Amino acid sequence: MATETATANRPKQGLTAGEKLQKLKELYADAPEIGRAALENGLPLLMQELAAPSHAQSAGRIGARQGKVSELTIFLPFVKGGAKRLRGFLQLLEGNFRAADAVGTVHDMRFVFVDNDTKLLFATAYDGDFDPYIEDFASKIPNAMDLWLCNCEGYPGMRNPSAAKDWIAKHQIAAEAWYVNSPNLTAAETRRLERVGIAVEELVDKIG
Amino acid sequence: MRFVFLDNDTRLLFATAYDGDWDTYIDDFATKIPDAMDLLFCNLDGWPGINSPQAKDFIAGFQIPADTWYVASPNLTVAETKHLEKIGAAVEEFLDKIS
Repeated sequence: MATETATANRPKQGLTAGEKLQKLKELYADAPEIGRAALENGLPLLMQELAAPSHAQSAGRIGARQGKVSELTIFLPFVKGGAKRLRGFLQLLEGNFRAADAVGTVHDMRFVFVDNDTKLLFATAYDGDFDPYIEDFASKIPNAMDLWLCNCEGYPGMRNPSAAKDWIAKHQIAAEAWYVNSPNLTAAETRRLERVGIAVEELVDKIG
Repeated sequence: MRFVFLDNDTRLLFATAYDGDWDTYIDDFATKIPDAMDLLFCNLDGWPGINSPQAKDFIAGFQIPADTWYVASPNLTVAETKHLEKIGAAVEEFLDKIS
């Protein structure tokens, strides 16, 4: 799998900014002209990035994490008629995802139909580690999960969380790089801050 | 944003969540961090450079729109979330002081 090759090629941790730059220059020695020019011109900003401490973390079993927020990227082959069913189901939801709100640990998610409707690309940003995240779905919204994942090949059902987790992990491809703008906020904390923001505005209004 | 290497390192999946509309978003990258963009995307077949008039067509040509897209706090921009983090910290400090 792509991830295994990538891990083997990953530079060792603990390199200085200068050493990282040296590696980058070697990597880009045979890059297209646009890339080599960008390396020269973008050096000041780039050095800040290379000098910063590492923010790359793992989401446990599989996937990348930054702070409290993890990523899951998965390609799932459709069963016969699965793409049509899932597309119809998603259209009828009209953008309403009470189930995801109910789970509470989902930041965002996208459903993309790829390779001529033979596969689903599902990508999400969520709180915490892989195992508790999937377990949460299994205990809170097993029916919603089965309604969409039954359209994918080999899905064992959310009532068997252990098999469901193995099935998901098997199809998942870990991101090589993952960026979150507010990595220290869980979805719940962000919602709470929205309420704090409103309360503060009210307070300021009252003391006018 | 996520960078995922696919199909035996022959393709890149790039997926991101951003504020506002498509055109403005790409314009912003071109103005603010053109070099960072070119460093990343010069590795892709046919990348014309972020300053090229063809850059947007290149991106749009490869983009696959999501059928469905969910966001937990859809009314917050990145800047608003960061602002709320500061308000949250200030409120905690305030409560500490009056307790």
